[in-house]
Amino acid sequence: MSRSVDLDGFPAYFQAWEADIGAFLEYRDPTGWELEPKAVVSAVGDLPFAVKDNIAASGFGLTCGSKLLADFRAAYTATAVRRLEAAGAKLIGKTNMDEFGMGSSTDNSALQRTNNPWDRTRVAGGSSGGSAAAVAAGLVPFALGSDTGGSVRQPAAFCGVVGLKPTYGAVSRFGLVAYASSLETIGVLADSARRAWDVFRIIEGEDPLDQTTLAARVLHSGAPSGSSFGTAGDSSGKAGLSMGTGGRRILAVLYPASLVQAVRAAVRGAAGAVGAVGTASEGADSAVDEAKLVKLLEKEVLEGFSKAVEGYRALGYQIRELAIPSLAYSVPVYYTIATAEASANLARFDGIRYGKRPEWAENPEDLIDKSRAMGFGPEVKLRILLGTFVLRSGFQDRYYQRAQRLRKQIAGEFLSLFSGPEAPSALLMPVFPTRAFGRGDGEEGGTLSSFAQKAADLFTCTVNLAGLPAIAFPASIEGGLPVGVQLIGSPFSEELLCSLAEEYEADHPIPHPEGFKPFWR
Amino acid sequence: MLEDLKVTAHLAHLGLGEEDLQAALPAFEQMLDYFAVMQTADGSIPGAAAGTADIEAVHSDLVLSIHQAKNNNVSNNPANMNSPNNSGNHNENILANNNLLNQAGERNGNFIVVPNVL
Repeated sequence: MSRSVDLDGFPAYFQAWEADIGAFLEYRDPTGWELEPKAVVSAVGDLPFAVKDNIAASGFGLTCGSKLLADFRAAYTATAVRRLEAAGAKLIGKTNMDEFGMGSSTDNSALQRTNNPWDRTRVAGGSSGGSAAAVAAGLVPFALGSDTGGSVRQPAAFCGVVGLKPTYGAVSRFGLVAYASSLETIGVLADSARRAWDVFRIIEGEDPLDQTTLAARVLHSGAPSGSSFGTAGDSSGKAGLSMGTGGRRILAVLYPASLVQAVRAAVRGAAGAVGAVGTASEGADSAVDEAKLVKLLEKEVLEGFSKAVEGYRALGYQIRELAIPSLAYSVPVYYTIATAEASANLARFDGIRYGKRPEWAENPEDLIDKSRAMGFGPEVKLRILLGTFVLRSGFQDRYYQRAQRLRKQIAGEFLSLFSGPEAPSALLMPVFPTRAFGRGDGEEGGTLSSFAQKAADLFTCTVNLAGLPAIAFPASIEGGLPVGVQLIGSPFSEELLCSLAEEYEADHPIPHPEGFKPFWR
Repeated sequence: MLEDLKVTAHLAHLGLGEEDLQAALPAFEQMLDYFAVMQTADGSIPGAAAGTADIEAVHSDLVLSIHQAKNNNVSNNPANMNSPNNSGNHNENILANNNLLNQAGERNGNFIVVPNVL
């Protein structure tokens, strides 16, 4: 890959953008980035990159966007970061995020606010909002994030960049602060599909420090014509799996309206289930929520998605619409499992092992209570409460064990999509029902309630439940804001997904916000 | 529900006072209502009904699953590995399982609970 880097004027550019959007929690002064060509030659050699602040990098902080860890410094470096540095890339800073990855806006960060580069009054998405905003503004060509239920893809869609969520096990999680271990992966935010692939190739692979990693890759025979992505016989020498697309150009499509129907069905179902067992709040509340959720789908998202479908049709793909019956259960299943795992994973933040201590405590138990009370924000507390509740004796059958059974069914349904002789290359669907939302009360640019944000995770969280790879990329600009779509593939089909996204990108170049200047090629 | 929340908050070591709990209650209940939709999956999705899961370990106790379909042939549907079939010996197996369960020292529903011995 040929590249020239012209940093003339970059430090002032960086400072101006950063003052505007607040993407970084910590960064090296750009006048001292030292990006001169070195001996290491790779696709990322001499390029700067940023890392979400829940991924460890020695010499930097590791706050997870929490007051509890505001002064914590990483003692070691995550495998993914180490591999990028070994390939010649230069880590220049840590980016803002929702506290412990819990949120869809990055406004749940206890440390600072990150604005969307396209419209400073709107959120950057989350939880990897800082990484997405930094890439969208051109401050770095790529950044690492983490995706537990859509935290790479949703901010990528909001900021108009590429977001790659790898297969579970494709990238080592060593050095990633655990939130929901069975769901989360380290992912890539990049300024092009090609760059996302370049970065992924470096960070992927088996790691003895993470027993869940695998060295597998699908060698697909259905690569788009003209694609220069590596295929069979790749120099990595990694084991390949036969994917069986047979060169067909078929895309399955899940339309936004069917996803919103699934959200409605879930909310209605909840009201019915609650009514049947006679517990919890009034049905009227659910009706209000349902009404709000029906309005959740923006017409601009529909327009952007239609353009993506037509774009692929124009590229010669056969479009096949489908339905996934278990989709309606995915958000309750996701939040049951994610909060249960969070309640266990975050137990270590007790003021003894990790986290700020109070000035005074009566006894160790009081110290733990006070540390967690003053350190965690409200969203984290809510999720820990939910996770502790669903794991409690007497409630496990109703919630956690039922969620695990349903997860198996949902994963099976998604995996079955990609098997068989008529299997599509990938599944195309929207990333979120709205473009980047605002912080106000009004209809246009108004905020989304915490509950609506969670319900909207239906668009992304199923991929995490099934452990599948997905890539989000901008489909179009609608009303001055990017609309993102995502392609979901079979396990270890990142190469195919990146090549499909690149094919679309060739006809629909990645858009940039006003004031953007290209420094990285 | 508030009492349940108090107990949960204590277990979670979140140091929440009465006011904090009152403030957290609506969002907590709203999410539990949402979780309740999973109940509607029982029967509508194969294998989702209670008693067909392979739960190997829960918390510190080792819990052995004695699910009703264990000794039956699995369904022909590969996505439904645990569903009982109608091959005729289903009732016999349920009886056999119930006999086994009735001899258990401690039970949790259809599970035999084996306490930690260390």
